[in-house]
Amino acid sequence: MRGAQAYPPFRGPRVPVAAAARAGGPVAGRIRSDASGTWLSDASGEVRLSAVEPEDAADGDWLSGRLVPDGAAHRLVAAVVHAPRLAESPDPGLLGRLPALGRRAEIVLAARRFFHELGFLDVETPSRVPCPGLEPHLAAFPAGAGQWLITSPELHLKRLLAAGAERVVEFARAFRDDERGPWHRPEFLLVEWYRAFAELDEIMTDCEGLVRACAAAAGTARVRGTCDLAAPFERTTVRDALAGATGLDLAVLQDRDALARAVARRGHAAAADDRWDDLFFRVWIAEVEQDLGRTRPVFVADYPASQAALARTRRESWGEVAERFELYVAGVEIANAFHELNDPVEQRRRHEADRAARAAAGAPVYPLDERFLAALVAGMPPASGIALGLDRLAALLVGAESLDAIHPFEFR
Amino acid sequence: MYETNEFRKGLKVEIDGQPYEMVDCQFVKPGKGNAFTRTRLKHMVTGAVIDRTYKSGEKLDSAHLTEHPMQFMYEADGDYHFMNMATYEQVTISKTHLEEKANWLHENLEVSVLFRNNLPIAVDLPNFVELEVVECDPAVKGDTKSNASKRATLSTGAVIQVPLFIDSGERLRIDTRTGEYVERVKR
Repeated sequence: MRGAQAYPPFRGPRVPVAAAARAGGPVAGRIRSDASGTWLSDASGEVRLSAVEPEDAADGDWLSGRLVPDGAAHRLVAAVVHAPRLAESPDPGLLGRLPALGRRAEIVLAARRFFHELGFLDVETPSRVPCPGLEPHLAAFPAGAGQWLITSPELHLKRLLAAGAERVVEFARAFRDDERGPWHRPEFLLVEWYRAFAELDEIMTDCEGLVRACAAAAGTARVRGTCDLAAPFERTTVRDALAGATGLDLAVLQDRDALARAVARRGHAAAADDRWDDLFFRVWIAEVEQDLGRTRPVFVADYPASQAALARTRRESWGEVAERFELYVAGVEIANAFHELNDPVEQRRRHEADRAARAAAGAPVYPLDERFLAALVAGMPPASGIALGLDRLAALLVGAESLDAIHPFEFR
Repeated sequence: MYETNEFRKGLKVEIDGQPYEMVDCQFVKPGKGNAFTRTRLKHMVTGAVIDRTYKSGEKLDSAHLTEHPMQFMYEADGDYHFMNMATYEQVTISKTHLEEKANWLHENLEVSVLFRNNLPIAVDLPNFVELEVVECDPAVKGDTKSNASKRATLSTGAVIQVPLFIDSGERLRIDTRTGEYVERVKR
């Protein structure tokens, strides 16, 4: 018997193979070896083998033959041996990723259970829609006949709030064109949830519980070696995080040219057509973001009002901020939350501004979602909500450094 | 010119009048903002490393280099000697400049030597090279398809991970971009 272990270990309880096969009836399955010995894995379960004939059958081979009782185990006498040619498979790396896929499945299951136990209504809303989100920096995939794939389920979930649901969650596949990298796939799993009558604090509490439930399912409490998930999550603001990392104070950088000078002083190249937000992100991405949540997860709140999207805004003594937070774990942004805007007049104004920004940038201008706006007119209760990238969280929890590592297939 | 969506490891670009090789590049997208590409760039002569972030759509010039096909001849005292087979011109590049690329240079290998101001500063290797195993644990007979691996030393001195069925004396195809074993080469 060749000993190299090519196949990932068994998961979960072993189920004995059917009695008929154990009694010497015909059996067909795959030989697999692990620390506990050599096993035959057939459609009904697993049986320990004391020996295999012929002797040169290898781990991973398929066989058909008979089981001969041999003490507490069975000897497999194979009539046909087929050695699969993994090197010729169109997916040669897939076998090695099976354990990571199994761990991702456990994490997703734990997340679903977490919301179920909190009494959330778990729904599925349409993926193909006539009015995808209007945020200027998101690109929807066209889906034919004036329809698009959703970039998030946000607008439908808010209609559920307006219709009377108070705690609602969706595990949705979101689609975003032009996003590709270790932490970006053009389609990915997010979990998005809303609580009517809630402030952002309650969403933060949900996040801590969810991350810990997922971490327990993954059997870890630490991410990237340094980020301790058992510690209470830290809370900071964009202004404090920026000041801590760079000494820059947003209170005196509200003006575009002032910010441009500060960015240049810190050695970052800037383009003449950079807007205030672009300049802000040049510093944020280069000097702040990678260190956020290094030792424990951190909620970063109070974004500049120009980045409010669908969040309420509030005036602070030094400037206007959006009632939003993002959650960072070990330098990776995994969630974005809003204290939700529910004023239909302001919402329509922002949608129109987004449409104008899309037109100016040469991006497709999607139609206004009049049903969503009508739901706000009918009355969406004050609420807070969040989208958390479950694929990103799962990748971090299994120690992967890319989303591709926890998915069976590459996006082409 | 290269736009951000063409950025990748190994790209050679010109920044502030200096030649840099992109050693890392990552797509970054703020929650509510433009996409950016975060890069790490290494000066092709001094080896100094800088981090730069580019907004989607920004462009970088390709590095001002000239390229000549040459053959690797031999190494002596950390200097690697190459010859232009058309002109018989010879140049040397130190191991410090070649870094891990030195792992894949075998005698008579055709490479591109990159010159700046008539000075050789780097080489571009073929994506795949064939090298002989000079030392490794004995093969495990018949095991032709498992993922398990062991260490093998190649004729250039490089040490790589290979499948269990590989034996000393065999020729292997190596991907020079990743330094990984690809397949066994039949003689």
